[in-house]
Amino acid sequence: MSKDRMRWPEGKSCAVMISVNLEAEYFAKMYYPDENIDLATGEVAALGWEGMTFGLPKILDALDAHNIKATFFVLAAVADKYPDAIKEIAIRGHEIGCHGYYHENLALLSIAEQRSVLKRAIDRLEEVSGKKVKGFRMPEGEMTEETLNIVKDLGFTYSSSLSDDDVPYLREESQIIELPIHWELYDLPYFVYTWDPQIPQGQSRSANANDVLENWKIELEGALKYGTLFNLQLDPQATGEQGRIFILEELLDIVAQNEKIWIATGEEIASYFEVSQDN
Amino acid sequence: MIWKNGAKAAFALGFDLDGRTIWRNKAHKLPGGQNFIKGVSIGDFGVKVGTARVLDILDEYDMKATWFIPAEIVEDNPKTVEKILARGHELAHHGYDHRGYYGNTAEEQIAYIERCQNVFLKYAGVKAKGFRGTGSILPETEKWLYTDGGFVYGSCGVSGEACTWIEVEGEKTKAVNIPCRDEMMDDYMQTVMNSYPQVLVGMPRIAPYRNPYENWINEVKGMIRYGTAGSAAFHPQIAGTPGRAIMLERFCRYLAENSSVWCSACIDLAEYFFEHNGDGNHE
Repeated sequence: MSKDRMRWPEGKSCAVMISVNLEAEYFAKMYYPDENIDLATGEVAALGWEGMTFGLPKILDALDAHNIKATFFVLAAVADKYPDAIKEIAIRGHEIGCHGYYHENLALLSIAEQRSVLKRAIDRLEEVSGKKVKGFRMPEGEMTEETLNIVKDLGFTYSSSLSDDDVPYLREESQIIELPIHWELYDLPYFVYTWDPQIPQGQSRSANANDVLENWKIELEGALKYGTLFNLQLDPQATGEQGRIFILEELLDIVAQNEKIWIATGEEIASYFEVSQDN
Repeated sequence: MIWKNGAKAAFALGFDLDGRTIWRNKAHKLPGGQNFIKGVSIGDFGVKVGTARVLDILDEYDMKATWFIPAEIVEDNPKTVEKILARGHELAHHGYDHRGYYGNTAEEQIAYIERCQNVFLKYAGVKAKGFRGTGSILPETEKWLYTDGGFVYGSCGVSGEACTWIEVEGEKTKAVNIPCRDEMMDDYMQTVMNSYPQVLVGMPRIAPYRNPYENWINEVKGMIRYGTAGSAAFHPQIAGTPGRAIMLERFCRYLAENSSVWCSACIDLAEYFFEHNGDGNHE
């Protein structure tokens, strides 16, 4: 009775999308979405800087070593602060998507404000990267159907923000393509830790990287078995750390060697889905 | 007691098909929350994708399970419920909309529970015989539930370790307890995650999948050791995601290959219990 298995290009069994949420110090907004917390000093600022300075190069090298193109969902504020990093990502052939401007909790903004902030973010990202922005990933927090209507209207071809499926689908109201994500495939919530402010608030201990890799391997087994989209989300300060980068390298080794896996960017997956819908 | 086929323990796979209810209820407490779409999408996965995947795994191992479904989910997804029943599974009571509130008085609470039963009857053609609460009820309601209310078993979070007659205020009822210890057998508690609102609060790490898996196995081993019975609170929105489905399948294989434990739906365990312990008329 399961719905029909998703058909991937060239008879592949599943799709793997490697995405990077480039947030620098704004990662803290995921834990404090409604508070004006200090992003400019202290551990939050330091972790953001560390990720951009030490983590990002390792992630880019791991991707190059496996000849894999990823999708970088970038905050425009990060492009303002680190324009050379964004240019480098674009030059190395990766897709640039939009993750908001200042990591807004979009659901709490008016329609006009959402439209304005996302328009400014696209313009800034395209200006800095020299690439057309087609993908949208909601800054962690919330959004509404209206947000997706705006996203569609602004010319994005896809969103990668929701969790009600594990293969691409067309969102009914806005008719935008959704490439679903799931928390278990996001590195940051497993690893991030700061004392002040408390992140995570419950001060649970940072995960063992071997355990996280094990979860991801099981997820990959599931993706192959069920024909789903394995949509990995990375933050350079999490997996890009020197003692953790090996989990990305090992995962990419496995993925790159498996001929049944289609490795693609968000743009490529959305484009394939759009064409397959028309046929 | 000795269970069917000489098994030392009995185990009922239980699935709480909560859909978006929990997420919607949490979002409604936030400003503008009635229009949020991210949190509820996690719950929607269970109805949209997870259920079918879980049903296929159960078929593969020829296992009958109990599905605890809020009546609102039954109203909104009658075809999904039809498929669950068509494949031989049991439907059980799990409140209307997964809010903790059943009413102020026993009359109100009984009316609420009956209202759900009428939804089941209308959309699924059956009434529930098993109860897993989503909040607390008065002792008077509980007495009615398990004596005249038509419920023959309860399978609630913390209810002791014994599969035996449920007692309310020291009085035996006609129903049997099928324990389901949350922290051992609830996959939602073990691996759910969201940031806004925070689920779980404080955002603890998602566990390594082998942790809950080994807890399930250890709990079943405990049931075998002490000759008891129990159930699980697995959630299709969790258990039906690709990686967790791999773990669920491994657990079903473990159960299927273990002759010390008899697996069937809660209602089958309850009926077997009655066959060997009388019908509950404690004269």
